Amino acid sequence: MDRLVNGRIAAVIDIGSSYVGMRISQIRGKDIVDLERLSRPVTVGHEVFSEGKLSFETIREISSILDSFITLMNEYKVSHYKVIATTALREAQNHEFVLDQLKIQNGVSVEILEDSHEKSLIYSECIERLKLDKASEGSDTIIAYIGTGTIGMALYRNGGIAFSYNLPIGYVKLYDMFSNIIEETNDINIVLEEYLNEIMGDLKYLVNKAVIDTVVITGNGVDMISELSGLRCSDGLYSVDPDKIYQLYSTVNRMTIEKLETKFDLSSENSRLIYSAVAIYSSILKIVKSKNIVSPKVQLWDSLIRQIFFPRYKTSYENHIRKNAVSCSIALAKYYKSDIKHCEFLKKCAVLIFDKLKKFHGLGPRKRLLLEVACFMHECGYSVNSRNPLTNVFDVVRNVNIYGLSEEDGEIAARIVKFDEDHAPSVDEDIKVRMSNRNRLVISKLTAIMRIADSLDKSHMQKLKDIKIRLFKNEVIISARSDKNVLLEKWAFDGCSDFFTDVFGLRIRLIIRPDKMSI
Amino acid sequence: MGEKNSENKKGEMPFNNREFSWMDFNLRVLEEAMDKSNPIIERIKFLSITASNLDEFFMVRVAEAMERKDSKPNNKDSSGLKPKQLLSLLSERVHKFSDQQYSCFYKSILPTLSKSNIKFIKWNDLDERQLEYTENYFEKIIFPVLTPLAVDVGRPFPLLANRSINIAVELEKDGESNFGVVQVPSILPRYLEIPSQNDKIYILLEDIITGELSRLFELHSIKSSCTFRITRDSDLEIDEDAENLLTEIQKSIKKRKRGDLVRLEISNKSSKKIKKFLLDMLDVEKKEVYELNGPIDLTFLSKFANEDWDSKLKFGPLNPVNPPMDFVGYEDMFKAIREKDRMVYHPFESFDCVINFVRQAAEDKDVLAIKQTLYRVSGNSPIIAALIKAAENGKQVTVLVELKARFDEENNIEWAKKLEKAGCHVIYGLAGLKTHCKVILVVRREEGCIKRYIHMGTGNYNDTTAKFYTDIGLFTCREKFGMDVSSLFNSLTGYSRPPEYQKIVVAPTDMREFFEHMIKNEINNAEAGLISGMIIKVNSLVDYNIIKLLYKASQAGVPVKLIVRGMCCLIPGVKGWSQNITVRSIVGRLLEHSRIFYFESGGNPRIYMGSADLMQRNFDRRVEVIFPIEDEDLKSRSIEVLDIILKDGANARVQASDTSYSRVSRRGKKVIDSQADLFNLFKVPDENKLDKPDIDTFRPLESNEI
Repeated sequence: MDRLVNGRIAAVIDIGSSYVGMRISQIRGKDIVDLERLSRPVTVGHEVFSEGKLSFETIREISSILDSFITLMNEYKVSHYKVIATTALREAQNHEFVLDQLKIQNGVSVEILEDSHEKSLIYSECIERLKLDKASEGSDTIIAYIGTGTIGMALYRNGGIAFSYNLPIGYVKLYDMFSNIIEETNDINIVLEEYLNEIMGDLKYLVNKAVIDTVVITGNGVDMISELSGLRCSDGLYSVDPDKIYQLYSTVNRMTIEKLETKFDLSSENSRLIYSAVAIYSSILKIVKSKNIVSPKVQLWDSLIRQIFFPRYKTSYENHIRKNAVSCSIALAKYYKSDIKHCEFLKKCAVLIFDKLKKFHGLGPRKRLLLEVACFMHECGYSVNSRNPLTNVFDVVRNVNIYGLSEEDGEIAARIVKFDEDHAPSVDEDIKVRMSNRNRLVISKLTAIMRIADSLDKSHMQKLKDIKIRLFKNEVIISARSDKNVLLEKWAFDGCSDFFTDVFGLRIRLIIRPDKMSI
Repeated sequence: MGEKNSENKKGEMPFNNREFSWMDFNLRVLEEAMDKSNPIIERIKFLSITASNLDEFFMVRVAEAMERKDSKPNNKDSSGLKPKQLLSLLSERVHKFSDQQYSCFYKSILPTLSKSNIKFIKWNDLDERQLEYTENYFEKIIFPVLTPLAVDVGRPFPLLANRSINIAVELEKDGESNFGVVQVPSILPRYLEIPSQNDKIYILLEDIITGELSRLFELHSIKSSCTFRITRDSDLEIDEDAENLLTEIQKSIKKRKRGDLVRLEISNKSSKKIKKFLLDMLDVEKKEVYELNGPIDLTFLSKFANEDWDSKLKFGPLNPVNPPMDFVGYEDMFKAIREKDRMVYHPFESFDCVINFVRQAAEDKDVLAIKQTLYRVSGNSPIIAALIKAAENGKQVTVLVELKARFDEENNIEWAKKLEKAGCHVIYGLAGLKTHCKVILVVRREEGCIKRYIHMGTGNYNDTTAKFYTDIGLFTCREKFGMDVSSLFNSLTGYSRPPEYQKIVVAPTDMREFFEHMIKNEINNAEAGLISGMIIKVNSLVDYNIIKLLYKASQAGVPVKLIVRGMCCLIPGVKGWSQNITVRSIVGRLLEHSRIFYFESGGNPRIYMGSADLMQRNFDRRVEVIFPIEDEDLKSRSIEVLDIILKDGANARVQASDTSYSRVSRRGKKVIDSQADLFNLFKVPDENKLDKPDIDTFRPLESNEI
């Protein structure tokens, strides 16, 4: 990584829904200075959102663009770069073939960013740029990201993300979805408004539950919409006047695509998309009803390029993810009426064991985070109904948006919470079929740890104190003190220890001493 | 000045016809040929320039009007003329102009030459010894390359090359008359120096061939003969979507030789029979026929003027300052540019600094890439050589060679191939647009960081024309310029769509809007009682909308000083329209070519320079770059330059409201020759630092630049 910094020039290529872009930057002191900013329009989004996959011609076009970008990178002797792709390529049915073709033809490995990763990069930039972590306690901020293929929403509260969710619809996708009726009706605005109103239920919930101080709207269309609305931009930040957006929306609705092209000097592509983009902006503004709305010029590669240049930033970003994934899990746990004290206790015990057993499990911080998330989320199934709580919790964890977690992360976390002392993942058919060998092991290890930790507070009364983990050659001893009746905990522990031993090849014992003896 | 179409109907915007305005410009050049205060050889060059200018005028402008006459006969141009009316009026003007050209040649040039013992003589004037010499030359040199062609029922009229000189011959055999055509070979010199004791005597090639016609048609008797020349439509029709633009242009150049005929020049001594024969064979209308009183095609005078003549017959040499004042004391150009922006004004300051900039970049181990646009380059361009060297040294070299640069297409194809062979990344320009901007970008790694050095100019990267075209170049390494120019190249290479430029103004992206905005700004300032004004120095002012805005500016009280060398469709001094506008044109020994735009901007003047004229083609069909001069010293210098140019009394003509041009009144004033004074402005005090004079500057203006 040090070599990267010494190299001082890096590039990020972004294969987006409507463009392929590249940024070549150099580091000067503490600043990152852009040397090149390139963008070439492509129709990736339209093809994927309407046909489901990318055509041969478009793959060739992307390859040709990459070829020219690589030529330019060579001019600057760029040796460190990242090629990423977002929604459109992610949703293309043939994305694996596309990536393979680009690898063969251009020699580049394209990383498809998961939706959650994409959003967390953007949100972290917004939080950093707007210093939201310094905002006063009790004031909530809604961060909305309007992309070409997705819309992301997050509630930022007391220094952490409390809720985060993504809608699989963006302005390109929305346009493509209704393109067949746009030409046939003069009331397309009504169709779009009703549809958007219907899918934005979660945003309405957030607004009702929060005391919103600030709304942050960002996304690819920010510049275009802000400029067309005549919004003021100062230091890379637009102050959004909702009336101006509504006015633009009203203007756009009265005009044909051809007239929009002329009036706003837009490309025909942008003049088509402006309909759906302004409709989304307008719908969000109507729901949030805030006066303090800002729109920072934040782009995905701001974060990515910084990660390439500053290894510390990557750590800081990971910390951001950890902190906010946990805060998001806690908020969800509360929403599902979990026993937060128990969850906190469980998490404390679980990470204690995880950290102590590091050389036995070989898992990194990301898996530790999944363990923490699982600890907070493991009871979410009970509030759905108490008949099949494990199945319920599995469904909940698998389907809610937990900030910063990928789909794979969600799958792992969901499977960790699926088991208690009576059930073990080793015999689970679903895991055998759907998860890779590597992830099966991860699930088993984390489940083994979580079940032991959970057994230590089976009664939800936090009876054990001074919990310590000691590691011997073939044995793990958990010692604790308690002056309470701990038979339930011992019973639960015994039920879980065999599975633990099977997974780690270590015996595990629980020694509980009376509280008074240790005094 | 002949008929003017400035007298528009009441209330209509005054708009001078661009073709008439161009003819007026050529007349100003002819005035220089007639001006006895100019040395005789220089006058010959000016006369030659008028001829080559006129050739191109026919090949492009007249051809275009003729095409419009067929395709859109009822469409009026901005001056209100239909194509047929325009062609008719043009024909009258060109006939009159040709008379003036030949009057100048016979009544002024030849007698003056004769005083210096330089003479052109006819076949019949040769003495015995000269005749023997000429016949021998014909026998050995001319005869082997001649192909006399008889024209009759079985042998059709030959396809004649554009601008080739031919001799039509009326023949008779066995009482039957027919015709023959002999092409005067273009591979041979147009004139031959023949021995003489005291004088320098010359005879024209076509006169020798005419004198020896009987040897070419031995079986016929020669009844009469005359020289003639045809001019063809030479605008290329290029399919820009073709797979290989280079091959497509090569094909089009071949087609150019067979373009539609737009002019027939014929000796006024031709017989009626020959004239009728040619008109029938070539299918031309009488208005397209120009009967000339002298040698057809006076462009040969350019080569003649470049013979080794006594220096007394020519302008004295010009001494470009080398190194230019901004680079005095700097071995390392990059260092000089790092310290501040640098500006150079050619040919008052040597063009070598631009060549050295590319050479230094080619040799510099820290330079990663060089990118450059090339529109017209010289025959043996040191810039091309430096680019090739750079590629050989492992630099990434990207060159945009504009293959569509009119009449330089073949030359540019050659360069493009050479550059490609050397490993440069060569781009042939953009479909539908000519890349006319003059930009060099050097990407250099310095202390781990990337620094971009830029040169932007008003003139071509052509070391030959840079010796007699006035052009300005700016060197800078400021970040925003670097970003802009990088983005421009990314756009030209097709790597990226055009971005929002921060400093430079680019056509066709937003240059029109920029000028409109700047003019409107002056109007607003004038209306608000703030200081306002514009000084615009360009080669042509033709764009209708810009002219309309300039009239509005005048009406709002904005003083507008226009320095337009060539075509100017704006008419100054028209009551209610343009009383606050002055138009002057400078035609002198140097070709005024720099484009400078000065806006008063409420007391905080803004100055821009660049490659664009104020023409629709520059805004809409070309890639042009205008750049701001922001350094205060350079701004002051630019203002000083404009001030000197505006004071010119030697070469400047002022346009009146009837569109006629007249010399600036010199009464009681010290006559300022701005071109001479600018040499003094750029002189570096320490004479030892100057190079010795290296050029004998004046060369013919290339008509294709006008």
